[in-house]
Amino acid sequence: MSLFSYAKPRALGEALKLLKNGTIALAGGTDLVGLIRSGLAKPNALVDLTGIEGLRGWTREKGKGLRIGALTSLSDLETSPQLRKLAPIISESLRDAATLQLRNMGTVGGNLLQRNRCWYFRDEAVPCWLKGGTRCFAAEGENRYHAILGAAECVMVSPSDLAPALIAYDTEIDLASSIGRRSVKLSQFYITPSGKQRKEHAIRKGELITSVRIPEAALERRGTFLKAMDRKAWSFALVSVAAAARIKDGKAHDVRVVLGGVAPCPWWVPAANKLLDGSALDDNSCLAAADLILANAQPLRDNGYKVTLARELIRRALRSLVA
Amino acid sequence: MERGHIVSKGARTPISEVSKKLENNTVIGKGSRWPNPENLSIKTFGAHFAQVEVDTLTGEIIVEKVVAVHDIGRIVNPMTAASQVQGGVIQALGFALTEERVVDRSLGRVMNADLEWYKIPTVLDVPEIVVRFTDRPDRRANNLGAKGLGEPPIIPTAAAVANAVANAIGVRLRHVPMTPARVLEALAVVR
Repeated sequence: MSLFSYAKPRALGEALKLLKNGTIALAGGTDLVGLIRSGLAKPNALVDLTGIEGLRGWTREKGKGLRIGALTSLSDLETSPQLRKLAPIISESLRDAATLQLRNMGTVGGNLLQRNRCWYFRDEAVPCWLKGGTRCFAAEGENRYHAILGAAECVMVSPSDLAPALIAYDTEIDLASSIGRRSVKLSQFYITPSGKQRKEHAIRKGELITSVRIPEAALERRGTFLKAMDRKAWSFALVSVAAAARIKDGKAHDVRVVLGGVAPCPWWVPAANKLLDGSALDDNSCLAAADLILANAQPLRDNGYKVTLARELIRRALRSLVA
Repeated sequence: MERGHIVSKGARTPISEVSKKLENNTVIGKGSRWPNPENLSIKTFGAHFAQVEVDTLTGEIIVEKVVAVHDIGRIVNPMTAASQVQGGVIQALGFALTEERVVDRSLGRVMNADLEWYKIPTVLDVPEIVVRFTDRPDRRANNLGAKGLGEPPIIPTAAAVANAVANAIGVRLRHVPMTPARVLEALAVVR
């Protein structure tokens, strides 16, 4: 670990000015501290965002949807009874995320920007492709936790539980930098590392996530989140499924099925959502959608089980929307 | 010390009397049992039973209950003995279900040399554990009639869980840990 300077600004504008080359923003630190310790992040300056008021907490304006500040802790979101009613997929996705201590420290922005957990990537001694090396060691190596779908040069999986939950609500994220502000759909924010893009997120230099917004229409959806782990707590998902739909007269509309832990990005297939439009979400329709979602699966040596697991989790998640 | 009294040079004083006068002083006593006899092999005995539920569609094994019964002669300290068995059972559940060293053979590196991916059981993974002792002094072992309880609690648990899983799903897993991946793989062979 090398030396770095540290600043704790009180205002967003001030923080944005401080964010330049070699500077990294610090929020809960639950990912960043590990990255620094293992030599994967080498900042020469840290900008601590936790002193900035106004980026914490959430607001609901009728007709304008739900806005959540990027510095809101995961445990605040998980435990809010109002939010559990308003956007149940969020609290369900956080219930099994990491541990209570990590959820107390971790923030929404940090969770969405966390780096992947591939053990070759996290091992400082392994020069993997994502870190600028020539090949992916997991593709031919130990890959029980890796991607079955959508991978290119790198077979890591998207680790966040919150990201699939938010994408199932058509969430947009607001970004700010010293040059200006922009908003993007969260579903467009993740990148499959490939070619010149050796990164997981479409965040630009000097940019911060300031808030996430769920549109009003999405809040009418029922939803659930299922996560398969190889023990009962403190595990990243083997497979996770966020499912949402507006249920009218026993039929599903605006269906969203988003998977975590199976691909380098949160994974969804628009055709599967469309297939379920107007469906009663019976077993056969749910499995047909699951097969569509998993149609291009290309399991590696050790992760074929994820296809079976994902198919069943998709079925259960969708079935529960009409149960 | 003899039946609640401290005996010294012919005088017998009740421990309650001694402790009243003790103030900041400490009483230290030393004792030992006889060595094990040379002409006998002293063994402890035990049996474990596991009750499991297996989700045959996700490969998840839920251990609901473990019953551990041991014959270790006289129980000197019931709480310590029971804790030793609980600890052994919990460690063995890691052995049975989650703990595995993953080595990349081409690199010669352990990929999970950390508590993130080397998965020991969490508190939520611990089932109901029923501990029973026969608590019959083994008079031939030594004058205390007590025998060891270090390793016995960890030995039978994984086998008991594996037997229960085989009994539940009709197919036997040949490798530990019995992860969802291995359960699904075993079931795929018989389906």
